[in-house]
Amino acid sequence: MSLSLALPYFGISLASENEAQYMQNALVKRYKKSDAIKIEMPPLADTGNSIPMGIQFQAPLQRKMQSFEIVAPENPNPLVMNVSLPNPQAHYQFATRIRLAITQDVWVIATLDDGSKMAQSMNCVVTLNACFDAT
Amino acid sequence: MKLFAFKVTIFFFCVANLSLAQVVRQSGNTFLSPDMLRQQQDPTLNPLSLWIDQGQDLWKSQCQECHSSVSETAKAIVQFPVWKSISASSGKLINIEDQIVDCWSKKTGKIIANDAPEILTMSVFLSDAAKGLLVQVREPQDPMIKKHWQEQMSLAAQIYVRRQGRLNLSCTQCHDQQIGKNLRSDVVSPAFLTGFPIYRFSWQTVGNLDRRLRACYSGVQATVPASGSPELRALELFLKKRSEGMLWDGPSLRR
Amino acid sequence: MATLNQHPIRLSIIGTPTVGKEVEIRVLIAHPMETGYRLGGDGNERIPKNIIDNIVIKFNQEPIMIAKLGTGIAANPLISVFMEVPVKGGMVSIEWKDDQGAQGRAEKMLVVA
Repeated sequence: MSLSLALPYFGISLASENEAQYMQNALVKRYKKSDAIKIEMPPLADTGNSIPMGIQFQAPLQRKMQSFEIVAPENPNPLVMNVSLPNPQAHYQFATRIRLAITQDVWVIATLDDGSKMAQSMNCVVTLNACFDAT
Repeated sequence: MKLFAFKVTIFFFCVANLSLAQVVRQSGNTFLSPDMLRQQQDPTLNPLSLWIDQGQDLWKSQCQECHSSVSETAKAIVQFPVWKSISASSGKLINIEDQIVDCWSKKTGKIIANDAPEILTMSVFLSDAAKGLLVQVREPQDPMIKKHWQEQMSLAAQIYVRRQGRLNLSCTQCHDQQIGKNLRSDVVSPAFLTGFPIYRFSWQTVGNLDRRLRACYSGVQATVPASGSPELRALELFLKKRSEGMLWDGPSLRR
Repeated sequence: MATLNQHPIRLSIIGTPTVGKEVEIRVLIAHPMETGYRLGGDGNERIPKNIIDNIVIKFNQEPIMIAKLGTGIAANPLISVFMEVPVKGGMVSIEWKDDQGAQGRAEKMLVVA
């Protein structure tokens, strides 16, 4: 823990996608879920290769959202996507299709224009596709 | 006595309806989840739209010269596979991708694989143009060709009911006896051929029936036949004939 | 000789563009989004990583959304954002670039109803 705090002083950057901050227990500890973010995703995915995901954001108290991240802690690369808005918005809607390696909570972490963060997560169960396909 | 006769009549009526209900053939699209169906029906969400757009460009640059009308050429989609005679006594079954490979080599002088991107693109494009047609696999008129055709059908029918692979399963055991049941995240369909080529999420790209059949072989852990082998063409003929009269769905999404 | 466009792209504007209301901008790009983890060939070598890592959506040349993508986005990526319709229409454009140097763009005119 202290080593990771000391590393930036040595000019070594930990800015990779596999940062410890994206692990499930770190996320649960750090963020309290907020109703400002709504995630629409099937609770049981058809396939781990393509899961439609929709995000709706309604900023509270006159604030605006300037960026958000989609994080899948159990994926080999937990940071799925990072979206930044040059013009921060109070209300935003976004959709895409993500890949999930295994069943996990998918997190959306939004950064507001004052630097504070809000988070929401949703669980998605991923089962393997049917038959082994050697083609 | 009258009440008894009435009851018996009702009983036979119900039984007759039950057996009629079993004749309804369902396209593979009825086994998609609501999410997947929504993605398939909306061309702005469906990844296949990208192949169709590309097919439109290819058609204009390569095919339009010889084939004047898309809808006329698309009729081939519901009629193939057909028997192609090589000599007086021999020949082979060819499917739509083989035909497109042949056309492509006539036009460009190059012979490419039947799952090359250009071939799959044209197959998707024509399959989309054939939406709404009914599957019509015709028996050939020529008696010699008809004999070959029948042989292929019988060969395929035998493959369809033959147990194979380490899992020792035959096609009919899943696709006739376990329809609608879940195989992990997938749902077993009756395997009618109304929606090919498919964009399969597990492949993350488009593939033809040839590839899908080979995937089935690997699924039961049997020796996978080489792409384009006669047994795959025979199976395709059999399965197409089995889908005779069904509405063509056009290229579809699958898990 | 036909050369296949390597990365077809579809940019759609969904909804009636009424001033003050929102329209949906949907982008569908053909790209394998190879993660670098899949095995190819005999099952011995990994297929090299090849993903779109940057997508910018602009309205009248001004960026309205900048996205950095990772391997966790599905193949043939779909991005959908909502945008409030301004008083005057304008050009919606999207530019993408991948980590192998390929690029693509598309644009569509947003006409106010």
